[in-house]
Order: sequence, then structure tokens, then C-alpha cells
Amino acid sequence: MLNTSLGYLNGLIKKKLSLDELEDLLFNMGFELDDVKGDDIAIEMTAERPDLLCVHGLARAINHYLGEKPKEYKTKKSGYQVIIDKSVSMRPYTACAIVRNIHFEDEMIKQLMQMQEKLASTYGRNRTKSAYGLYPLKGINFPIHYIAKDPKKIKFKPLGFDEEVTAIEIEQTHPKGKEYNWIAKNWKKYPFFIDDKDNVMCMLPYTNSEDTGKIDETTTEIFIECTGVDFENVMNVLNIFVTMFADMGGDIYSLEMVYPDKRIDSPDLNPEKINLKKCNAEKRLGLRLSDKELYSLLERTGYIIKGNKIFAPCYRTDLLHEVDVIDDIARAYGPGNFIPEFPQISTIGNLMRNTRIETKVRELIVGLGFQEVFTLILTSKEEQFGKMRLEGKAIFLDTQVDKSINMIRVSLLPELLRVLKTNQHYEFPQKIFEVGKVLFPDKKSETRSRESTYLALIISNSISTYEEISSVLNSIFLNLNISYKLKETEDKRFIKGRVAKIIVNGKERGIIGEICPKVLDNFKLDNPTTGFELDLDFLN
Amino acid sequence: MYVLTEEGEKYLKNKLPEINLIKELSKKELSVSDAKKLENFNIALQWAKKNQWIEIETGMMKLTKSGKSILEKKYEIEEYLKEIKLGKFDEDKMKILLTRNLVRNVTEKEIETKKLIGKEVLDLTPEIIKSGIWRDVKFKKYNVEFPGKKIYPGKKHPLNLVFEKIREVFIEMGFDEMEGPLVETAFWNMDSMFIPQDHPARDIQDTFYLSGEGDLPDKNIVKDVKEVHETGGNSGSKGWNMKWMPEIAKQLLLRTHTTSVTYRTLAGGIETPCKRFCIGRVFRNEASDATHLPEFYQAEGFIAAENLNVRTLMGFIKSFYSKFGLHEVKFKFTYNPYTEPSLEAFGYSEKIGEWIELINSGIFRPESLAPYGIKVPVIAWGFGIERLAMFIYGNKSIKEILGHTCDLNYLRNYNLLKLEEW
Repeated sequence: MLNTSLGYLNGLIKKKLSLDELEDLLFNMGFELDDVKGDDIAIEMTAERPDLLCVHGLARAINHYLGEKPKEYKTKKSGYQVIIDKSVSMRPYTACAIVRNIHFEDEMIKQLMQMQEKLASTYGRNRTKSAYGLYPLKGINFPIHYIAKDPKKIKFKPLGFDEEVTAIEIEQTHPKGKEYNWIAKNWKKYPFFIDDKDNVMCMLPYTNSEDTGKIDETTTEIFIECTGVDFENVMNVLNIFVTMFADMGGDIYSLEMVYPDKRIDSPDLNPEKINLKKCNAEKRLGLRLSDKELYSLLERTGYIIKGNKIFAPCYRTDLLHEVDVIDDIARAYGPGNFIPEFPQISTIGNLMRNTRIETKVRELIVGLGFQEVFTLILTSKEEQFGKMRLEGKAIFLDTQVDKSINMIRVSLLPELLRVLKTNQHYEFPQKIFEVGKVLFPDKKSETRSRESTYLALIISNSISTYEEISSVLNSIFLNLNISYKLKETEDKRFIKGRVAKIIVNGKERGIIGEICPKVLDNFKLDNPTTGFELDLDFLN
Repeated sequence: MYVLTEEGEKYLKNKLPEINLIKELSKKELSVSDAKKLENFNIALQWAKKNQWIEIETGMMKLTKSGKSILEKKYEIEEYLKEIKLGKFDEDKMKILLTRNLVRNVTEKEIETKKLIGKEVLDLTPEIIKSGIWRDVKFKKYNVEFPGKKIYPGKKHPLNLVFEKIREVFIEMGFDEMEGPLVETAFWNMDSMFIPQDHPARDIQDTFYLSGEGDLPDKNIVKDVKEVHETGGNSGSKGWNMKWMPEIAKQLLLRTHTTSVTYRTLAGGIETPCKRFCIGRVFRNEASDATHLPEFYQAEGFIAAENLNVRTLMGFIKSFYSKFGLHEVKFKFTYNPYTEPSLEAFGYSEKIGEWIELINSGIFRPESLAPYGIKVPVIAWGFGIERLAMFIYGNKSIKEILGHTCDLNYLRNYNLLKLEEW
């Protein structure tokens, strides 16, 4: 989600757009105007385009879409160095840049903060993959050292604090320390940016220093660092930052990253050459395109065309395959300009046998006057075992957000009793059934689980007898032409002497009886209830 | 209770035929052929012979000894008839009368029914019909314009009707049904379709993970999937440029989409052209509210064939939507990790007067097909069924129809034709 105002956006694009025009344009590009409050707008962006997480990036994309020729971004050399110590093995890469001649307005600072936060949570995978820091250039003594140190031996003043604390305290006392300390749970040393006069600039992955790492409206020169575990990720994300600053009017200066084994100029804003076969684009899109049309479509989504060569702009981090470029061509072409064509491919369709059989069983039971219900597969131990006075094996959950659930059902009966509980105030008799899946642990299976399709059926009324429920069961078996036997048994869920096992082909396949008053009481039900549960797998 | 039949009444009045025969014979001898003129002669002959009252010699009937004496005695059958008339019954005596059809058993109802003659009757009964007195009664007039009482038929669940409709549409269009497990490995739920191992959708906030590890499939498939993730393999892609870890792929979870079923099918080997579909439950680890539950149903279909592209994908979805009454369709490009391009499809519902977004679709990425040796394009689309059902039935809350919170009153009374009208 990108939050900005229509006025600010219009100030950045070539053509003043009304809200409706903006909505249509965004729709064609593949984005959505999500919310409008006065002049404030929220735009739903797609996850693969971190370069669009600030309004300047979006304005750039809109300008290209409206016909502005994409430009290349250039850097000047600053002559400064960042020296990377081999101790930062837990977060071995950094990419840095300097921006000069920037003149902040309120909205720019807001956009910057918004982007920094969103990039860290999405592209930076909640700071695990990469994290970013911005500093006023003034006051930094070069070269800067990127080095891991014992946090008990470093003291500095983190953002928002009035006094210095030992770095290790930040994990327990600083809001960002508390939020992200899970990332560092196996670290003995922590990476720091420290300038040449030993001023701590930041502690990763938590916070900048209050003294050296705070940007405001008066800042005109910025040092920016990205650190992380993936070289390409930090180089890419730096490009997203600096091209935004360039679009804000800043000048980009490069630094030399001095690794123990190599030296790299950062940032690298050179566009990347793309190998695209026109015929592949035509095949995937179902279009015929002249070279000229192709190039013009590519330019509308920001690609740089030099002669017959195609280059991707340096802020694009999402291009893995030719098909990603083809997708941009499709967006430039506009979804409304494609003429849908029904594919004439003749094949013969079939339902699965178990779908057909289940349908027949359902229809039979509906014919016996029962209402079908669908209960949930996710339920709780208390409902499935506790209230039913049962114990057993099941698949349990332990990281569920919704605390009212903690296991996968092994029986439909308790869920049907819960349906009765919800509907006590409606007319009786209440006759309901469900055909549905239950799951059991199974060590031998590929997914350590086994699924069965069960049928459960209950009758609840002021009088509901074993004879009534066994007649229903009997007529089901008669109509399926399957022989079965009932064998007296004991089961805590049912009244003693009024419960039987259902035996099909010599195997126990279910249980039938009058529900025990204790169970009814557990579910807070007042009416006598009878029911059965039957494993339908014998039908397949 | 027993009463005399019409025949019994007649014999009580006019004597039994065998007695009348004996009376005639006591006056004069008769030949069989002469006696035939007598009333009920065959019955008379049968019983007179049986009682050994007569003998027949050369066509002439003669009284025996007991035949001669019978006229002075009381004939027991006649006595029985008299007793019955007086309301006395003897089961033993009744047997012969029943065989001769001189008495019949009547129910209380029949007796009561008799009393109805000439009166106004409320209910037509089998007795009124059988006894024939319907000719002699009047039927009370009802208020036939008063509506009947409410009764509850057995009904299928409203979602089930939507499933059936979806199946019908897929089958009409030549799709074969497929299925797969609810508990999956991360491999089939994510890795197999090129979702990177650090993708946010894998977070526990979105996915229900289960303890333990599942099995990975065939080694060659695993090797190819690993390669395509790390370097792009032979798919023409850069890959995710990240070490692929089998322990992440082995994680057990509740499937988050039915695309796991699609990829099991694709990896299992298909013959093109191939069209498959499935309907199944999927899970998201989130709190429930009026419109979301942590589990819901998804429908998904794919076509693998030569010459499929964005236009044919659009064409297919357009026809699919029109089967659900959405004849006007528009598309928006979007992002899915395993399709490129990806399209959201909006259909215009005249019924509710707005564009509704149901289908998410796309052309599978080459990286997600290369490990299974699939060279032809594969287009696919899917949608949440509850969302469609709520549009159709106009429910405000999914909890009203699904789960133990369902409203039985709603399920008993929902309009079966809604789906057809929509």
C-alpha cells in the first residue's frame, strides 16, 4: 500500500489527472486505487515491485506509461570509502551511496520513512535479508568501518534516547531492539557502522545513533547504507533508494566498498541488458508486434532501448526471466486491448468416482428428511475429546492465530452436536447430517496423515430413540445394497445398552446409539439425541 | 364383531336353501333335473349331501334317515344365524358361517362409519370408500385458500449446490476432476511452483504448520526443483539466487491453496491437451471474522496445451464467468509468484449492479514447469467458493452457513432457485 495525496502525485507527473483518470490508469498498469479520503489516496501495489513503494517511483512509472522516454541514472565519484571487516559474517554485505543537493519537503520525508519501513518488511524480509539506514553526511568522518563487535563493549545513544547505553541493552530497552532481537538470537557479536573517529553510526539490525543518524528537513546531504545477507539484494535496494533521491532532485555519488578480498563501486546504476525473443512475447501474449511497437511498449514500462538492444532500468529487482519482461509488455499494451479468444481444445471431462458416490449418499439422506450442514475441519480438543469423554490420536496445531482451534477433527459427531447447540431456539425435531473429511496421524504416509470420508447423522427431539436412528441407518444400507451388522458395545459417548458398532464386511466402520445425557450436558443440549457416524471409505 | 352378510340375512328370513330342499323332498321325490329349478339349488345340494340328508340314485334324490328327522329338529346353522342377530358370538361356530360367507367381521370404524349416513363428514376414510356410504354423505367444505403449514424438507447445503454447479461447468467444458491431500508438505504447497523459500506467504501468520517432517518426492524432481530455485536450472531464469533447503520443503502444513493439487498432477505426468479441475478445502492461519474463516473452499482449473496465451486465458475465463451469469468481464494484470503474466478477472453482476472480483489467473512461469518436463504453456485460474456463494445467496456472514455457528433456520429456508436466478 502506498499512501500519498493526489495533489502531490499530480505535481510529479506530466499531466494533471482527475481521480477517475488516475483510477483507470492505475487499473491498466495493474495497480488499484484502494482508498480515497479527501485528497489523500492509498494505492495497492504488488509485492514484486519495491521500486513503486514511494510516490516518486510511482510517478516515474506513470510518466513512462504516459509516454515519457525512460532515462538512465548516473553517479559521480565521491572518493570516499567504506571498509568492510571480515568479522561481519552474520550480515556480510553492504552497499552505500551519498546523495547531495537534496531539499526536503514534508511529503518527501514522509515518503522516505514509508518506503524505508515497507522495503525492510517486504524486500528486506523483516530486516533478515536486508536493512537500511540514512545519515546526514555532515559530521561523518571517512572512511567508515562496517565491523562486528561485542555489544557489551560498545556504548552509544540509540535513536529516540537521551543518553548512551551499552549496545546489548538495546535488545531489551529499545522498541526496535525488542521487535527484531529474534534475528540476532545466535549472534555473539553485532555489526556496527563506526566512522573513522570511532563514532557509532548504527547497530544492526536495530537502530541508528541519535547523534549521527537522524535526518530532518534541514538535511541536504545524505549517506545511505544497506546491509544484508545477499549481495544482489543490498545492491538492488540501494538503487531503489538512490533513484528515488535522484527523482527528488538529488545528485548521486558513489563510494568504494572495500571488502577483504575485493573492491566494488557502489551504487551500480547501469541498466541491465535483457535477452528477449520477440516471438516468445508474441506467443505468450497472442499478439503480433512490429519491432517498433515492441520497443514503444517496452519504453512505456520503463525499459531503455538503445538501437535494437533492450535494457532494464537499475531499480528493477524483479526480472528473473524473459516472461517478466513479457508481462511488462502486456501491461503497456493494456488489458482492455487484448481480444479474448476461447481456446478450442476438445477433451472429455469426468468426475471422480468418490464425488459421484458421495453425491448419491447425500441425496439418499436428504430424501430421508435430513438437513445437510458443513462444519469446520479445524476444531478443538475440548470439543472433540473433552466433551465427548474420549481420548485418542489426532493432528494438533500449535502456531494457530485463532486460539479457539487447536486440532484437526477426527469425528463429525461433536461438530454436529455443536450445530445443535447453536440452534436450540429453532423448531424440533432437528435432523442434520454431514459427509466430510476427518484426519488422523499416520507415520507411514508421505504427509504423516490419513484422510477418511465420514458420514454422521443425528436426530434431536423430545423423544428420539435407538429404533428411530437404527431405522435410518438400515434404510441407508438397504438402498446402497450393502449388508451390515450391528454389534452391541460400550462407548462413553452413548447410553450403556443403547449403542452398537456398525460392522461392514467384518470390519468395524462406525458407531450408532443414543447420546449419553452426560455428553448432552457437556454440549448444553436439552433434547434426547440419537446418531451415528460411519466411515464411508468402504464405498470406494 | 360379526354381522350377517346380505346372504345370511336372506337365509335367516327365508330359511337355508338345504332346509328348503328337504321340505320339498318331504312332500315328494324329485329328480335332480327337476330340482334344479329350486332357488339356490347348488348350495342346497352341496350342503344336503355334506350333511348326509339325501342320496341320489339313478338321477332321483331320496331322503336319508337323518334327512327325514331334520325337519323336526333345530338346524344348527340356522340357530347360529339367529344368535348372531342377537349379538352373541362363538368363534368356533363362526368358522363355518365365515366359510359360507354368511357372516363377516366388521370393525368398530365400520360401525361408526355407518352412523355417518346422511350426515356431513370431515375426513374421507378408507371405510367410507369401502363401505360405499360415500354415496350417502356430504363432505364438509374447507377453507381451501388458507396456506398450508410449514414443514422442513431434507435439503442439501447451499454451498453444495454451488459445488455441483461448478462441477457441472467444468465437466461441460471437458475438465477431469482431480484431488490431493489437505495436509501437505511445503514442497507441494510452495516449492514445486517456484515460491521462494523466504516468501512472506510462508510465514506462520499465513500458514498452519504442523509438527514433524513429510517426505519429499522422487529424487530427480527434488533435484530439478532445487536447481530451478537456486540458479534457474534449464528454465531460462536466474532463479532466486538462494540456497534451497530440503528441510524447509519437508515442513508439514495445511494446504493454503488447491494449486498443490495442480502441481502434484503436473509432476505426476500429463498427456496434452490436458484439462483438470478440483474443488477443495484450503486453510489460512488467521483470525476469523464475518467474511473470513481460517478454512474455506477453493476451485481451481488448468489447461496444458499448445498455443495458449493471454488472449485464450481471457477467452476461457470469459466463458467460465458467463456460466455464472457474469457476461461482462474485465481484466487487470496482477502479481502471483508462480504465474506470469497474472490476471485478476472482474465480472459485472447485473443482479447486484457492480463489478465483482472472483478469479485470479495466469500462465504458469517456466520455472514452475521445467522440473516436470512440461514444454507447453499451462494456463490456470482459481477462486474462493464462499465469496461466490455469498454473492449468490446474499449472506452477510459466512458463519451463518458454515461451521458449528451455522443458522439452521437459514439452511432450512434458503431459496433453492437463487443459484439459477443469479
